Amino acid sequence: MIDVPAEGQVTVEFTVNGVHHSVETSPRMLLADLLRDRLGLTGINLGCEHGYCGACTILVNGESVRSCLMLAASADGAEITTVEGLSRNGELNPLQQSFQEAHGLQCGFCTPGMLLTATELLEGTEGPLEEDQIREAISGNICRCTGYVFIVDAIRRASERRDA
Amino acid sequence: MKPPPFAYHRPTTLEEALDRLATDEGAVPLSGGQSLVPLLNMRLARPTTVVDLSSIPGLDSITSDEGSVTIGGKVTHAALERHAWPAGFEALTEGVKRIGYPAIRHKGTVGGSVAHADPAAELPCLLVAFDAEIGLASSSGNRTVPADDFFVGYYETARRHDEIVTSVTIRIPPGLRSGFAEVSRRTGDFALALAAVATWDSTDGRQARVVVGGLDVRPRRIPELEQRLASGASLEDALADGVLARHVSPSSDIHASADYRLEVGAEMVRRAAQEVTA
Amino acid sequence: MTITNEPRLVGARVVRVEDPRFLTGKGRYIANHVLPGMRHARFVRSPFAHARITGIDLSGLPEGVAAFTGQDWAEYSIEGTSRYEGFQAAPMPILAVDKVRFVGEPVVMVVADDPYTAEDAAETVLVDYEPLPAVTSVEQALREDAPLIHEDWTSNLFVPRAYQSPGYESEKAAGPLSVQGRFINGRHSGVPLENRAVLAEVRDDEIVVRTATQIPHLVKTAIANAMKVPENTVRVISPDVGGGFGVKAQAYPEEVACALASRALGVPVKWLEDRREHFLASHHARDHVHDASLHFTEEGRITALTATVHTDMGAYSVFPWTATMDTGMAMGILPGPYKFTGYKVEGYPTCTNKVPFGAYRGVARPAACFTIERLVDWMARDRGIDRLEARRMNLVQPEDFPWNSAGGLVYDGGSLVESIDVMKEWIDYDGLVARQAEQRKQGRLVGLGMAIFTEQSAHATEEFSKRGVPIVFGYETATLRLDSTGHLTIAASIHSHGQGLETTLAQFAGEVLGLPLDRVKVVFGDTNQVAYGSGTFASRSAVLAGGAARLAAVDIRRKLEKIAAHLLEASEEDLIFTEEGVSVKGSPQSNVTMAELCRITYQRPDLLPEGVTPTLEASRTYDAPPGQGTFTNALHVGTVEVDPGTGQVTLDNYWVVEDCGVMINPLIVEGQIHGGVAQGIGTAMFEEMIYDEDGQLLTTTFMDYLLPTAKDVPYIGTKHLETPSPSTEGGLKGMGEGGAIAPGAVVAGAVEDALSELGRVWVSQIPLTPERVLRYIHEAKENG
Repeated sequence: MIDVPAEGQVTVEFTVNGVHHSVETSPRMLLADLLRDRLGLTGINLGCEHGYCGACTILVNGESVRSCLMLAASADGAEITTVEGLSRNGELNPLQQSFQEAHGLQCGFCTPGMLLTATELLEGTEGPLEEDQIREAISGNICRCTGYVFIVDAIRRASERRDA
Repeated sequence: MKPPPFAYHRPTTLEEALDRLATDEGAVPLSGGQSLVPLLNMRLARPTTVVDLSSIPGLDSITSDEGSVTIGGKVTHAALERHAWPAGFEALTEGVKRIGYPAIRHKGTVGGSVAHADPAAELPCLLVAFDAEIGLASSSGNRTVPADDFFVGYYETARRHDEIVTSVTIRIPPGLRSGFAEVSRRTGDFALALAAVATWDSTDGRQARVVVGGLDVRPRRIPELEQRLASGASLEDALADGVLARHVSPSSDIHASADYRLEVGAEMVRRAAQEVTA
Repeated sequence: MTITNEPRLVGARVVRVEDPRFLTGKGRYIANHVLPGMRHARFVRSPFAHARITGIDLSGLPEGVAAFTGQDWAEYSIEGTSRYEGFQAAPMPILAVDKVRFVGEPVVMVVADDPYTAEDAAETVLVDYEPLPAVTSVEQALREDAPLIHEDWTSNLFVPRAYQSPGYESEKAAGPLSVQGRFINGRHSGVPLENRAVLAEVRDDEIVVRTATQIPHLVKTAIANAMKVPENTVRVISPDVGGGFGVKAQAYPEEVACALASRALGVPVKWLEDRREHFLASHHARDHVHDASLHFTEEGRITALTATVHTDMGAYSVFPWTATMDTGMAMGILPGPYKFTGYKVEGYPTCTNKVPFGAYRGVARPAACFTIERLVDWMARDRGIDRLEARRMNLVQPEDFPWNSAGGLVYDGGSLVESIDVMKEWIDYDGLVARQAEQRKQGRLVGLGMAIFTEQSAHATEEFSKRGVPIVFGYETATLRLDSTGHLTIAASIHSHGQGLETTLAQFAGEVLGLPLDRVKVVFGDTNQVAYGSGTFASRSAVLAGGAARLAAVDIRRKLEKIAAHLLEASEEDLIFTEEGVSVKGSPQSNVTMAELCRITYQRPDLLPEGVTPTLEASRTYDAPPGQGTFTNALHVGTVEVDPGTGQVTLDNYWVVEDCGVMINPLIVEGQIHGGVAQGIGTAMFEEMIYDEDGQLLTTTFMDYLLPTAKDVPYIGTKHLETPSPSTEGGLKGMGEGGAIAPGAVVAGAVEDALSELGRVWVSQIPLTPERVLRYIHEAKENG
C-alpha cells in the first residue's frame, strides 16, 4: 500500500527504454512531465494535456498510452518505451526510415506519438497493412502538417519492409 | 493544465480502497484515468485524495457462465473489444469500437466509464439496453443496481462517493439480438445521438429495449417503442409522430441543436432497430 | 543567372535532412530548453469579454511567487498601426490596464518555481471586474448605439476600404443576369500542435528571448519597440517550431511579458501556453462574411462582381499585419482567376470583444475562393453549363498573361486552362459525373465539387508597401560561407517549421557549387546569427530566401572559378563543378577537390591569383520581382457522399492539379499540398471558434474544436504542372499555402451537387457540420 499526502513524495520504479529508474515524485505529477523534466525524455511532446492530440503517446507495457493522462505515481512497475528507445546506436529503425523516405513528418511535433502508435500497430499485426487499418490505428493522433497521406504511406512501407 | 495538489493512495486490497473512500469524503477512485485525469488537468476535479485502484488484484477479467457475462470494473474497453461475445451482442461489439481512440480504449475501463456517466457515451446506453446490473462495493456492503436505475443525471449516478464499481453483469437471454447506431462529428467523438436496441425471449414473451443516448442527461429508454418492437409492430409511425420528444429533452450545444439531436436520434433508432428486425 | 550542374539537385525528390532529429525525439522545441535558475510563468486571464478592472488583490500569493499587473507595465505595448488614412489605432497592452477587451486577455502574470505551482499561484489572484456590454458580432459592432471597445474611437471600425475598377458600371450592365448570396466562413485558426512557448533571459546587457515564432526579427523589433530599448540589446532565438500556420507570425504580449519579468527578476522566465490558453489568446482568423453578386451574360460569360467584405478582427490590431490584412487581401483576390474587369468592393474590418485576428495559411484567400467559386457554380447551374466548362470559358487564357486583374493585381502567368484538361483526363471527369448522376437517381447523395484559383505568392516590397503595414517586408537575406573543409553554411533570415527549408535551401543553393546535401548546413531563427529579414509566411521563403541564397552561391562560385582556373591553369568557362570538386572540361585528370580548393583559399593565400581575397563568403538580399508577387494556380476536385439521415459528409476522393513553377523538391511540394488540403478540410467541415452572446468562447478544448483526423482526410492525389515564373530566380513560385485555399469551396460544391436530385439549394456557409447539411437536405426537399 502506498499512502502519500499531497505535499509528500511517491517513489516510482520503472523501466524506460530498457533502463531501470527509481524516482521520487509528487502525487500530482503527470507521467509525461516526469519523463520529460526528470529523465530528459523530451521526445514526448505535450500538445493538449487532455488526451486528444496523441503527441505524448508512449508505450506502457507494450500498449499505446497518453502520458498526459497518466499520473507518474501510477507508473510504478511499468515498462515504458518512448521515441528515444526506438533507434539503436544512432541508426534509424525501419519504421523511422520509412517515415523519412515517405516524408511522413513536417514540423515533427506529432512524430514521436505517431511512431509509437505505429510501433504498436506493427507489433500486433502481420503482413502488409491496409490503408483503412492504418488510418483507424492512428485516428487518435492528430497531425496538423501532413494531411496524413504520407504518414499512412510510411507505415504501410514499414509493414511491407518487415515482411521482406 | 496541471492537476491541483492531492494526496495519493494506492491500496493493494479492495477493502483498503473502500475504507479510504468511506473516511475521506473528497477522495475519488482512479481506474484508467481517461475521464478523471483530463478533469484533474483542467482543474475541474479537485479531490483531496486520488485512490489508485491499479494495485488491487482482480476486477480485471471477463467471466461467463451459461446465463450471464460478468465484467470486472477494471476491464478495459480494449479487452471488451477483444472478448469473444456470443451471438446477439453485436450492438456491444459495434458500440465499444466507437469509444474514443485505441490509446483511450487501452486505458479506459468499464468501471470508470460507467461511474463517469457521460450522457453521450456508448457504454451506459448499451448497458441499459442489455438490462445490465452494476455491482457496487463499499465498506458497508455490496449491492447491485440495474443499469437503468444507476444512471441518474448529467454525470450523475446512483453510486455513492464511498462506492466503487466492481462489476457489470449482463444476462445472456435466449433469442438475443441487438443493434447499435451512432452519429458523431468525427469517429471517436462523443455521440450527437446514439441508439442501442436489444430484443430477446422471456417467459412473458418477446422483450425489447430501445435506448437513446446524447439526447438527455442520461440514457433513456423509450417504452412506447419497446412495446412496438416486442410486438413486431413498425416503429415508423411513432418515430414520425415525434415519440422521442415525449421521452427526452435534449439540450443544444456547440455541436448540435436539440432539434437536430431529436431528428437524428429517431434516425439512429430506426437504424439500430433494423439490425434486430431485418 | 543560369548555372546547372549534373546531377541536378533542383527538382530532385530527396528526403529531408532535418528528419533524423525529429524521428529520434531530438526536436529542439522551446519546451525542451532549460536554463539554470529558470522560473515559470502563468497568466491570469480575463473571464469577461468587456469589463473594467476595479481591483486586483495579490495578497493570497504564496511566498516566493512574483506577480506583475498592467499597472507595472502600463508604459509598454505592441502597436499594430496601419498607415492607411483614418485608421483607428489602439495599442495592445502587455497586461490589460484598467479594462479588458476579450475573454482570455492577460491581466496578471505570476512567476513561480514550476508550472504546477505557477498554476496554483495564479488561482490565488483575485481580480474585481465591472462588466461592460460585450460586442460579439460585426453586425452589433457597427450599430450606431454599439458600445465602443476603444473609448476614444468614433466607431468600432478600424478603417473602411473601398475599390471600384474603371468601367465597373458598364461591365455590370453588360451582364444582365446575376447570382448572389451571403457567404460565411466560420472563425477558426491554424492551431499548430505545439502551443506558443517563450523562454526569456536577460543577461548582462542582452535580452535573449527564445520563442516559437515564424518571424524572429520582427518579434525582436516588436520587443525592442515595446521595451523602448535599442534593437542590438535584443536577441530572439526561434529554434524548432512545432507548426506555425500564421498563428506564430505575430508578436504577442506574452513574449514581451516574459522579457520584462526576466529583467525584473534577474532569472530566466519560461512560459508554455496550454491548449486552453491557445484558444483563448492565440490569434484567431478566417472569420469572413461576404455579400456578393456575380453579373454575367446569357452565354455564361462573367462581366462583373460586386462585393462587400466584413471581417471580425477582434479586440486589437495585430503586429505586424494590422487589422486590415484580411479585408484587403480578400478585396484584391475576390475576382479569382477570371477574366472579367468590372469590380466593385467595400471592406469593413471591425473591432469586437474577441481574440485578435491574425494570419492563417492562405490569409483571406480561402474565403475569397469560397465566394467566387460558389458564385461561378451557381452561374453554371443557372445557365445549364458544366461547371468545369463554365470556368474554362471565363478563365484568364494563356495568351492573356500578364493579366491585370479586376482586383488590381498582375497575374504573371500559369496554366489555368491546361489544369482543367489535365484534371479531366486524369480523373475521367465526364465518366465520374455521369456515374454520380446515375447513383443519385438511385437515391444516393453523391456529388462532386471543384475550385480553381490563382494564388499570389512571394509578394515582396511593392505589395506590402501598398498594404500600409507598419513594417514593409519584402526582401530576405542569405549569407553563405564555404569553409576551409568545403562545407557550406547558409544563414537565412526566414524560418522553417515543417516546410523542409533546411533541405530545399540546401538543394537550391548547394547545386550551384556542386555540393551534395550532406555538405550544406542551413541555419535560421537566431537574430544574432542571421541578417535582418521578415520570416516565413505568405508562401515566400523558398522564393525569397532561396533566391538570395542562390545568388550568393553564384558569387562564391565566381570566385572559386577564378581561383580554380588559376590553380589548374585553365579558362574559367571550361570548369565543371561536381560532387568530386572542380575539373576541366575535356581533361578530367586536371582537377581539384572542393575541400582542397577551399583549404587553399583560406590557408594558402600566397597561391591565390592577384587581387583575390582569401575568403569564401557572400551575402545577398533579394526582393523577388515583381514586388507584387508571382502567381501559382491550382484546380482542386473532390467527391463526397452525404448521409441523408444525419447530414454527415464523407469525403471519398480529393485531387489536386497544381502549378507552382519550378519545383525544388516534389516530395516536399506534395507534403505541403496534402497538409494544406487537410487544414482546408477542417475549414470546410470541422473547425469553428464559437462565442456565446456574452463573448465567452465555448470551444476551448480539442473536444469542442475539432481537428481533422486520419479518418476524416481522404487520400489526396496530386499532379504537377511546371510553368516557371517569368521573373523569379530559378523560376520558383511560392506554394506553402495553396492547399488550404480551395477545400471549403470544393466540399460545399460537392455537397450541393450531392443534394441536386432532391432539389436546389445554395450552400453558402462553412464549416458544413452535419446539422447544417441536414438543414440543406430539408431545404432541398422543400425546393424539390
